[in-house]
Amino acid sequence: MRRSRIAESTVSRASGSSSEQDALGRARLDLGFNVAAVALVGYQFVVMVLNIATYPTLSLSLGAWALLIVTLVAALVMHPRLPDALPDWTFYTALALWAAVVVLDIAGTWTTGDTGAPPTAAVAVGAALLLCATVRPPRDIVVSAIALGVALAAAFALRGQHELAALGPAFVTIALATAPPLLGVQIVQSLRTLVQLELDLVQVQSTVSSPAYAVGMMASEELARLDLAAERLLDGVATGRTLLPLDEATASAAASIATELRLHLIQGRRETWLYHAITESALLGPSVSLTDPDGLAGRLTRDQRDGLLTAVWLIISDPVRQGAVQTRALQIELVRADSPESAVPNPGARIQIVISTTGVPRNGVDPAAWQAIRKVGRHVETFSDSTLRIEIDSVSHNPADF
Amino acid sequence: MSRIQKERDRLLSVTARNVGLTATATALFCLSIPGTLPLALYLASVVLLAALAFAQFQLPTPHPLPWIATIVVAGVALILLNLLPGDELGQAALSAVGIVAGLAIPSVAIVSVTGATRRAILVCAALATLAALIITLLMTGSRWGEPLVLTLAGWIALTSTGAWLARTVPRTLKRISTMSRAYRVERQASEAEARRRQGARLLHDTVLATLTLLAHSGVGVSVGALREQAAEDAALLRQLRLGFTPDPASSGDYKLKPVEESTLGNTLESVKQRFRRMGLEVNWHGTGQVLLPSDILDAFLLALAECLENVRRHSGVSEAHVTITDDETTVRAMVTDAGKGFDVSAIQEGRLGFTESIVARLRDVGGNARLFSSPGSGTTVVLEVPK
Repeated sequence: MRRSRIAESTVSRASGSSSEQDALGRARLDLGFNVAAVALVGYQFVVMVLNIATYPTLSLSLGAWALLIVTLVAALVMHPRLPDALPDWTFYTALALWAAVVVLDIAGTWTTGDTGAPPTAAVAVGAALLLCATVRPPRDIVVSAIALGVALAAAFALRGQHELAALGPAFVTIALATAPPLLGVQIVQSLRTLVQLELDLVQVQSTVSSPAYAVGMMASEELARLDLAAERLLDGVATGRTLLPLDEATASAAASIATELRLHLIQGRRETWLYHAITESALLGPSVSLTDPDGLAGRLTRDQRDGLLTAVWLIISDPVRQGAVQTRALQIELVRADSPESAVPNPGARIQIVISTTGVPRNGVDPAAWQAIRKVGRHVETFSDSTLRIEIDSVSHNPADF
Repeated sequence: MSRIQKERDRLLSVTARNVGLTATATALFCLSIPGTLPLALYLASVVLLAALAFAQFQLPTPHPLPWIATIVVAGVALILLNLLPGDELGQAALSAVGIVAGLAIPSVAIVSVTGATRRAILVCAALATLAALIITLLMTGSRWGEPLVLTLAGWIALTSTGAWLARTVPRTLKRISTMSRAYRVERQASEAEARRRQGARLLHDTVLATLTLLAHSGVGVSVGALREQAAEDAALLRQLRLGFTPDPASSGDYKLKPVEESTLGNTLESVKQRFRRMGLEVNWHGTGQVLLPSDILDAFLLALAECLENVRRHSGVSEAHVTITDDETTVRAMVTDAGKGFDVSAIQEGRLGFTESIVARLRDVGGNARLFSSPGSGTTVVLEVPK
């Protein structure tokens, strides 16, 4: 029972992407890009019908349409039975069929000059790729879309244009083939970033209710790992699989397991919840540094912790949410504020929290971050040398953790 | 406005911006083909396209309504502008009109699916676009099929994409926030698990001792006894892994005498390796063959590791020296570095992690720690524990 729980917790921590997949998978079951793709395919079909008299080899283009419709119907039928991520073989089969569609359609519309019919089934392949945007890695879709665009451009170029005005439909055709899958990829990527950030926030926020000092999520895993290593080694000796005396490598492994185990066993709860929140977060870990020698973070109340963490998270995640590269760095420093009015009986612990960040534009802080900071205490912000400095004066009445 | 709504609007508006800018760029290409429009009208349409692009770029700002209006007005003007030559529209102009009516203007549909007011705007914008398109195509006697169908398809595709996103984002985010409870439970469980394993002290004492003995090639102990002890310890660890908290003191006797004490030497070597991996070279001097009871060894080792960690973090040098000496009653470690140093008197009582974590732990086992330092001349810490 407990064993399975441990295994589970290890797995879910190791791959945040599984829950992310889950969240996205649900979204996929909704309409998704289906309506958009059907509208685009429908438009191309109408264009084909409108130009039906101009096709040099109509049968080839009709064949292309038949093939495309068969694959789309097959996709629709198979859809509920497919796993969340489209398997390679399915995708590559579809790609091969769609490549055939493109070739057939271009062959069907082929004449020299610009008197021929416009390619339509080949353009509709772009909409088909849009359908795959939610179930395949972005690179696959981007590469396929670009290949499609290049094929269409090459076809137009090789046919030779006598009239400049015919370039207009060519531009539109290429744009309609390539833009939908590329924009679809962008949408899915933004959605994925959003989900990842949100999962990160949820994970980070789970620390606000933990005790002031904690061992963190890593500690038990590490301890379990060492215990298991020791067990295996001892088991090897006991069953005679490992010969005695131990060879040098095994002996030194035994020594290092012992030392690490010793250190882990006596490791007190020296780090605060805030330290764990930062180090366990994929977002905050690399860009936030914490200075809290006295573990003052532990004295903050639950609301104050939530406010502080949310503010820091909002400041750091802002560029990431907008799809930019992380450029912000942030320092948090907690110091004991001297309490001049010590005449007041039990004035509570006064803590000064200084958040300084670089890379944040003067007015670039999410208003929600200020709202969160207000939960921590009164604050003053200053901006100099491209560094935003927020000083928070917080009073904590949190006797539970003393 | 809640954070979820904000995230949703941000995603919608960024998507609308990207779709719109792509369409506007395509329209610019089409109109720029020579002969599509007379020069004066071309310049006017470039200005309108610029307005369109600028407004599309501004969509992610907090108040997009004026920009939505700008997009619709500029787009409709662009379509109607093609009435002026009075001739049948050429292929390139038709393409441009189709793209503007079918993609550039409907980009606003993506951000207009939230709220009743915006949906009303959406319907008006779609009708205005269609009306402008039909008027332009009919009055110029142009080919109407493709542009009209593209416009219908564009509005349908982009409205449905917007509606899907507007529904998916809040739903997904709400789902994630319900996971916060699961995370909290997981964290508590992980804490409890760490505590349970740390709490199994007696078990770990015997395991540690056996491991240490094995590392020393089991000197002085028969192979059979060592095997037996290993088997017993492995079984205890297995029980721990399966969720029991075995207490070897009540389940059996220690088989081997030497396990209650461990040598310092090989343990120190491991500490050295650990710090080397983190970039601090530790040089050992003095004796390594000191036997210590395991609780004292624990405290001593932890204090030592803590001192070295302080050197690594604060001294600014990558080398530390540890000298171990012992007499009849005491084992002493002197940790020195040639780093920055600091003014000992300037440090308030309780401000440095030193006092709390090192001294307290050593005092628990009857030891002590002393600190010597001054700015610029390095730091020396002397740790003492009884034998």
